[in-house]
Amino acid sequence: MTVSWFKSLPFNIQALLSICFFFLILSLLFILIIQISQLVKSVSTYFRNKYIGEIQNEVSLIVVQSAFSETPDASFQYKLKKLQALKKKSRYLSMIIMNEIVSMKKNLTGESAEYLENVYRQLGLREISISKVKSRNWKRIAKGMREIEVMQQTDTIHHLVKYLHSSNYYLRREVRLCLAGIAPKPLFFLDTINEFLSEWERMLLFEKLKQRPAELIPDFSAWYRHPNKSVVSFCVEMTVQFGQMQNIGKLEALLMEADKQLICHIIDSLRRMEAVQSLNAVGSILSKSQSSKLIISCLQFIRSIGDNSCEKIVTPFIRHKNPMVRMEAIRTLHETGASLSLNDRERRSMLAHIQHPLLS
Amino acid sequence: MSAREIIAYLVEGSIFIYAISISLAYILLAVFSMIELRRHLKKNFFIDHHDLLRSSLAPSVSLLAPAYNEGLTIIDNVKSLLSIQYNNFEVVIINDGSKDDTMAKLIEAFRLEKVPFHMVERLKTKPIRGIYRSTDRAFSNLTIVDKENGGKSDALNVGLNVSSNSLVACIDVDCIIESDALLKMVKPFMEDKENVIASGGVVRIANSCVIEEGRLIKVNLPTSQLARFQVLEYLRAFLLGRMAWSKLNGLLLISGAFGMFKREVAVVAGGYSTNTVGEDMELVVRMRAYLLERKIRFKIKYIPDPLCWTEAPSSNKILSRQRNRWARGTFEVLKNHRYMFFNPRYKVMGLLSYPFWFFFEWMAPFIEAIGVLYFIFLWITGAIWWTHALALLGLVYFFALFISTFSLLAEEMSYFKYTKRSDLWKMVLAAMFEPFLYHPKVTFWSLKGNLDLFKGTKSWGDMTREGFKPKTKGKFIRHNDS
Repeated sequence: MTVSWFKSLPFNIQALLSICFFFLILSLLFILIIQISQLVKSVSTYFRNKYIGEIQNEVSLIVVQSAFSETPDASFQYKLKKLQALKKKSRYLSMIIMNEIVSMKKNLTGESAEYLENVYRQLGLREISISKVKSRNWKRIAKGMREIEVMQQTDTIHHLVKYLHSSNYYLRREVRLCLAGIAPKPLFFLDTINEFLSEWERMLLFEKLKQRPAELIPDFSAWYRHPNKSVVSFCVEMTVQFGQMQNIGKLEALLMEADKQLICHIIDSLRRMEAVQSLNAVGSILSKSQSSKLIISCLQFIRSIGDNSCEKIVTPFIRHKNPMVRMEAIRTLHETGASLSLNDRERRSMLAHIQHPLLS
Repeated sequence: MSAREIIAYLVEGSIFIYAISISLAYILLAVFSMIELRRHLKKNFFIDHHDLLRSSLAPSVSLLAPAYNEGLTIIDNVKSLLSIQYNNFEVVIINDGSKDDTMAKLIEAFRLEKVPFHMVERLKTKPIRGIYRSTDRAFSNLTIVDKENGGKSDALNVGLNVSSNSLVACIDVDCIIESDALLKMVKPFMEDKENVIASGGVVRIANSCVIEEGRLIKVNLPTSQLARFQVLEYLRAFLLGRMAWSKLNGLLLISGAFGMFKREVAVVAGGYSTNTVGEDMELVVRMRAYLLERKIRFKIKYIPDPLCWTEAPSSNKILSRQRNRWARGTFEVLKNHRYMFFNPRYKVMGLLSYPFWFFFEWMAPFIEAIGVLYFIFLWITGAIWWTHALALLGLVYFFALFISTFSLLAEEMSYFKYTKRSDLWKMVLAAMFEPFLYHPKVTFWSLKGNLDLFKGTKSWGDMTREGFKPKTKGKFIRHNDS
């Protein structure tokens, strides 16, 4: 009856009602998808909450009791059997166990970390991570890499290296981060990298390198002449962060060849390394520079060194057209103990600012 | 054909074409947004922002927050800002000539002392009465600027003059900022190879949420129906609109509640305009125009993460003032930058974004009003073909429902902040009733806003906020929502 009523309507009304019906069906479909999604999330939360306590308890006990037990092996094997039984129940539980072990490992070092790595291997989770790395889905691959990196499975690096040339940018970034975390030469991939290394990735790499033992941190000067400017910039920054004072001379040499942006960065790095020996080089750049940003970097360097021998070079900048340069010049002269006689109201105001303890 | 028939044909045809165009535009934006949203989620799937919050390589940021008559809540708000987790940032509060005890409270609570701050006045502003710093080391990154009243734009310009970092985040002082918000907002500037000049995040509605000591503890759907309609509206605007514009690099608006900019670009573009109530949109448009005219490549990025929570108006009176202001602000910006209209010199902004805002954001209330008046005219003259009219009405209604449920789906697939099962049904109900109970009011207020602009109204109107007050012992929740 409905169909015949519908067919009795003029064609344009039929069209309008069909489109209405189409949007209504789509809306109901969206609501259904949301409901299903919420249901799946609830179920997985329920499952997780049901077993997480037990899993966390078992893993913690393995680590603690095995470390302190008089019969560590027996204790370890007993607890491991319980976890194996849990793991065999379902793939989802296996995933929860993996996530818990990986998350716990991030906060452990020493013997406890080794026990956890042992658990990871004995439960067959290592093979699961490797199979993830070999899959086709990039998210699975990246997840597998993370697990391998956190669990420090250095003998699986050969599975990861091929992704350095993946067409997927996120995968390339992930593998670089993982290799920085586990490779014996953490930054070996820098030799061949030709894409832009973003500041974000540099920050991530730095955080990874911070976790490595000091003896594995490479000499960053190896990449000072890299054709990729972002790599050079990264290595200059890392030189400062890891206090590689032996590279000050090489950084100074780089000053003569680098572009404007990199020169500022190098001067800032030399300042932070308190490279007194670079004073002449920086002074020379200051006397020739036209760029306000570069002038400010040079003035900050001179100020940090605390040498008033550059007073003659610095003094003209208190009349520079850029107020930030004037301020920096006055600050430098003041803090290096140079004599300042300022008649100008603006400059006196700058000096008052510089001298105030709450503003320095 | 008689004159009447010709007029009828023209009016009906224009409205029909307009309706088809706006519907197609919304569908395209929704699809683009979903694609970009999924891409963003994939990209950030493995980033653990908490590992990076204390990174020494994160760039330093200045948080600028104007304050006017915020005496009731200013201390909590400032403490909330100071507790943001980020390695290197400063908080600059600009007291815009408050008539209450805002300044007195700040001086006492933070042990402030006036300092001889030398400010380079690159942007002209109202006179500064004093700049203060705290004698307590715990608040060493706090700067308070006391100035004569000049409005929000003027206060933000003072902030731009005073701030010392290359990135500035302009916020509303009473917004709740997520603890990792700064890091997420800074990420586009660090990640993109291209020159990112601004980034914006999602503003969410905090009504009925549990807030303690300036921190969002639990997200709840607002109990007030009016606030729920606004939740739906914000979801549509942010998740199904701005993502697409960001992808097209045509984003014209970064919310004034929370946006981050490259300070230098904002300053050389002239800072915030004090001649408009839509200062947030106006700055972004002007920054774009400045760089496009100089053929400098840039991007403005948008982050779909909920980073900022704000109190939405809970009464029709306050909401009407807000929408009135938004309508005036939109027209002011469109009028001031009308040279961009279909101007290829301004690329996506001139050829797509500006026309979109003009036709589908500004003109929409007028077209709707004309449509309603025409309908009434036809009704009076007995010229309505009711079957057709009802079918058209049904189409409009179900299309609106479709877009609303699409936004709910986008929310579920992304950050699913409303986790209770009942929340979905409450939002579906809101989507079903919104076209009847909410949309007509908003349209009316937009029309009134344009009329007020024509009459010369320039004020913000009194945006009374109730604040996040304690309702029960130990819990801070928004009350008086119903």
